[in-house]
Amino acid sequence: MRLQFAAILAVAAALLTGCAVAPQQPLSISKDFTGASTTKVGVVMSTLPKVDTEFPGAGCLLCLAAASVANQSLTKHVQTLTAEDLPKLKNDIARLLEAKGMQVRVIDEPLDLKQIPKYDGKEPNTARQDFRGLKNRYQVDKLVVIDIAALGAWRNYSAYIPTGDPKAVLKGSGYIVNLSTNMLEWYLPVNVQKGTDQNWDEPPKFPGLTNAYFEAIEQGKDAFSKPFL
Amino acid sequence: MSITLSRPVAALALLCSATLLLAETPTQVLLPDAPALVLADVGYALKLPVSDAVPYQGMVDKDAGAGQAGAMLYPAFGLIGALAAVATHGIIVEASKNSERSRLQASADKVLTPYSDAIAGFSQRAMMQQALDGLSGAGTRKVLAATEPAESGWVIETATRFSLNTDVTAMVLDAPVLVYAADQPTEPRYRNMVHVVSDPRPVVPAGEAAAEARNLRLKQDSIALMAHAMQALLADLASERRPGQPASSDRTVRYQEGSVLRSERGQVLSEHCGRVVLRNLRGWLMSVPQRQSPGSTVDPSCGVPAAVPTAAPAATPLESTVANIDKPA
Repeated sequence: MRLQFAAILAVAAALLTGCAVAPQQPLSISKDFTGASTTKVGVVMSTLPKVDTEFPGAGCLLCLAAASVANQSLTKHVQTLTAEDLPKLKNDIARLLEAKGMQVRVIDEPLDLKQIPKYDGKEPNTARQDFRGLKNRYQVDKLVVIDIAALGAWRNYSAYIPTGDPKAVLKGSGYIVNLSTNMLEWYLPVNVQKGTDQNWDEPPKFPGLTNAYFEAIEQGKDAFSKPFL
Repeated sequence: MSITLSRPVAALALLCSATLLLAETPTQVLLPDAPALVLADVGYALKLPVSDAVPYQGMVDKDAGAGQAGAMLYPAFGLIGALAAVATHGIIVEASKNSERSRLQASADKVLTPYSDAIAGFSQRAMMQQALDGLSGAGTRKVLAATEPAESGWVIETATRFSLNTDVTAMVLDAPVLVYAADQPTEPRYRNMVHVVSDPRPVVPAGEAAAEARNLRLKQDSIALMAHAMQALLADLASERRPGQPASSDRTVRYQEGSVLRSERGQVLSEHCGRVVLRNLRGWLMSVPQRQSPGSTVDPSCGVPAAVPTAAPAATPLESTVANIDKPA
């Protein structure tokens, strides 16, 4: 009995410890990154997500169904929107790095982060995934990763009730990984939300919200590029 | 305590969860296919709104007020109780949203306090007359009172609403417009909204000593925005719209609204004299300041922008105007 209780306690402790990982804090670009002109730097973007709607707060299945039905025409329109020239962001960042005298290589193929294995580093500012295997693949020493995690329109809900108007959203993070040590040399979370100053509910094309979506893309591009200016 | 609902209840819950907010009716854009109408040469009358006071308001941050996401547990007092709980929740949230909107607008309107005397003494007639006086064109232009009928020719009816941002570095004009022949007032030729963003305004010192300069600047900027609105409107009326005419591609135009960099998606109609005129996704006309590259200046002889070309421009690939990341000033 005591042994069973101890085993249950140990499992619970292991699970709770796993939940207690601190989120990565923003990290400014280290001086070492821009200082060494012999370092080869790759710039890559993760696979862009599908442009879609989300309803945070509509947690229960029925709430989610209600929110989906209520915003059906909005979702249908948002899913037709494109990522515009967001894929060219890596080229823009590469140009900025080249202007600083760095050797830069743009990786055209999107990086599928789901294929990168997890990495359990003990030191702070260690990448949560093991990017070291990319050193030989890309033939670079450091990798600038632009990860767009969400793109589209989000509307906050409290169960069945919308608590606000939909907002255009671009969420993601940018980071630089040293491919020898798997340490982070820059980390920036990006969370852009843009609303419309007029009525948003204008089906079928929702011009106000569509404009806010393209504004969010522009602002997101600025946020990722600014540290390299 | 969570509840499990049957299908009819779920349908009713969906009805209750629909937004209760009645949408404000937007300006219905009317841009029929029509030959070019060059009112600058033909002449027109500009009809004033009923109220002679020029309305001003503070600009609310449109990115604020998304509401909070969160779960909600409804008390389960049977089917009727559950529906009543959802409906009550909806009413409370709606009231909270309306209250938040009012609070944000009231907070934004505080920017007008130093200008209250100037605003009180500024009339629509004076503002519009001075705006018309600055326009070029051979046709006669006159201002009519709201109740004064136009005997002949073309009539432009408009209203104005000026907005000031919190740091007073930008002023925006929203002017719904209606154009009709004097003898056919019930058959409008054109209806649209004109949205004009001022050039970035320099910060005027606070305090009583600078009050006169501040008030004069407000009036001058209002007149200038009205003149830009009229220029954009007249140019749009002067462009011929043919049946089946392909529209030019949409692109994202970036511009400075005071100290904030904004962008608008639409079809660019003209880029002239430091202004970009575009038709946005709603079909509204917008006149915004053109982003200037460092060292460039606007030609001081700039006056009325060139007429809008009648032929549709060749289709271009979708591209943002931000080809190069500008260094911050």
